[in-house]
This record gives sequence, structure tokens and C-alpha cells, in this order.
Amino acid sequence: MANKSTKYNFLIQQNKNKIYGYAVYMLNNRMDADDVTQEVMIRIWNNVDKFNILAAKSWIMRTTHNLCIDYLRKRKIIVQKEVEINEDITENFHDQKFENDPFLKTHVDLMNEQIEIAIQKLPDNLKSIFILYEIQGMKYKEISKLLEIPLNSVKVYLLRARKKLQEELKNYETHEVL
Amino acid sequence: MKRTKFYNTSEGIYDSNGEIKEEILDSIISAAYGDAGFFQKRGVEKLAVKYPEIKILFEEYKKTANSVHKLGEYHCPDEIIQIAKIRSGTVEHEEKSFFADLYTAIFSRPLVSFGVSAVLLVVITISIFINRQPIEHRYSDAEVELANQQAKEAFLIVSNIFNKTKNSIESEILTKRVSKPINKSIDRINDLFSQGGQNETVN
Repeated sequence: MANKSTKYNFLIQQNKNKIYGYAVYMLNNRMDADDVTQEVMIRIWNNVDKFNILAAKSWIMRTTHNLCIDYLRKRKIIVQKEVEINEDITENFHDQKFENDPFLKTHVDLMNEQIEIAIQKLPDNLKSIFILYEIQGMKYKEISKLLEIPLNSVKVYLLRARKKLQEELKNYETHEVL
Repeated sequence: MKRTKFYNTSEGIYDSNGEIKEEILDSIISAAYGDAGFFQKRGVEKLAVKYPEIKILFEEYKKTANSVHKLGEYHCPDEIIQIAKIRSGTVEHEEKSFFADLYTAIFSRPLVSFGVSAVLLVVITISIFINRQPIEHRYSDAEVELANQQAKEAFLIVSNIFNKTKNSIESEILTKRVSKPINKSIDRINDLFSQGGQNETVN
């Protein structure tokens, strides 16, 4: 039991931020992200003896992704043209590098807000790949295995996500100017 | 054979709809986000130099990519983990173990693992240097005496050679080979002078 506990604690420490971060980006709702994160951790505990600790990351992220998709389907999110800024989410994201320079910090915060809003507007299939690659730092092969899609599809979807993100940012800037 | 088709800009960079060709745009995006290959990146840079619109597009994508890559990681609140542990009954099963806590503290945090490894390495290195014994060469008295004797004999041999050489130069070479021929020549010249003087007198 001590061994199971140790393994569980190790996996949680290694993956907690990735699980939570992915859920936040996918669901755009802190409460739902909390629920998904808890659910994933419970499932890790229930299955910790069954999988190889080296391959655990892939299993954990796949479980997180599947739960997020389930939540999205249940909620039947209607894509809005304007997304409300979730202040709770932006507060949770903390970059200590710009603490000393308030002007720079504000500028960085605004840019991050813009980027996060634009990411939220991406279609779910593009958003998941974009988050896994650009933010979580996973490789093409890992994403392909996790989402069970061909490697070339991952590359194509990533390119589409980047193009879509650029369009969203341009629309956002245009809207702000108007 | 050309490496990539789209570098052949003789056909232009725009498609029939007046937009930048798909392959070129894909390369620009890959280069901006930092996952293009070396030749792909070089190709985009060359196009950016040649076509200002490509350069503008590349800069825009690069700016977005930099902003995306600066997005930090969300930190999972600890209370979520605690709630999950309570719901899964993990808390009941956890045994308070010093070694388990130590294992988790050291190996689950990469920075701590690195710090501990670095400290261990420094300690091991210092202890090796401190405990290293200097190598002392010890010779016996007999060995030293023998070495002195051999050195003296060697110097004596060299001294003899120099003396013999000196004597040889003074007694043989200088006398027989140098001064004797010179004296003979001088005598010959004197004879010639004295004969010449007698001839003048007679005349």
C-alpha cells in the first residue's frame, strides 16, 4: 500500500499542472476544470497498479482529454462571438518574470489575455492539438498516440490551428480598433 | 534536383486566387513557430528578403508564436489534490513514512534531484582531493651513494676527453699543422726578398 501511495503521489506531482492546465484551456471554466482534474486523479489512483510508470503520462493525458470532451458534449457549448474574460483564470496564471515592471507586466497580461481568448475560439479538435503541442510541449508522435489519429493529421491540424489563431487575433485587433 | 518545389519563384508566390501559395504559407508558419527544418527556414528567409509581403506575414506569425510560447503553466491548486485524495480514499491508505516522503521530496521534483546530485558530486570530488596522499619517492642510502659514484665517473671521463683534445690541439695541430707551415712560408718570403736585394746591388 505504501508502494501504491508513493507511486500515486509521484505521478500526481509530475502531472498535476499539465492535467489542470489542459482542462482549463479546453473547458474555459474553472469549476469544470477542477472537476475534471479531480476525476482524473481518482482514476489514476484506481489504476496506478495497472500501468507502467514510464507510459503513465500518455494514459493520464488521454484520460484528461476524454473527460474534457465528455464535459463539452454535455454542456453543448454554443460558440460565442465574444468570450467573456474569466478573471479567475487570468489570476491563476502567474508569471513572476515581470513582477518588478508594472508597465511590462500589464502589457504581457493583456497580450496573454488576447492569446487565451483566441485559443478558446478554436474548434475543439484543433484546440486540443494546439494546447498539447504548443503549451504542454508534447511531440507529434505522442499526440498522435494520445488522440489516436495519424501523425500527418496532427501536423495538418496544428497548421490549421495556427492559421485560425492568427485570424482570430486579427479579428480581435480590428474589433478593438473599432 | 531541387529540394523543394516552392522555392522556384519564377511561377510567382501567389496562386490563382491571388493568395500566397499554401505550401509557402505553411513553411512561413512552421518557420515562425520554430519547427521548420534548416533548409525550409532558409528558404523562408530568402523569400522574406525578396518579397516584403512575405516578410510582414512572417513577422506577424513570429510575434504570435513568441506570445504563445511565453504562456506559462497553470498551477493546480493543492485543495483539488486533497479533495481528490479524500474522494478516492487515498488519505486513509497513506502511511506516514519518512522514506516515502523523502523519496517523493527528492525524486518528484527535478530541481531538488538536480540539487542533491550536484551537492553529492561536489562532496565526493572534495573528499578525493583532501584524502589523496602525495607520492613520495624514497631511495636508500646505498642507491644514493651508487648514483653519486656513477656521476663522478661520468664527469671524469668527460674531463679526460677535454684534456686530451686540448693537448692534441696544442702539441700537434697548432705546432705541426699550423705554425710550421706558416714559418716555412715566412722563411721562403724572406729568402725571396734577400735574393732580390742582391740582384739590385749587382745591377
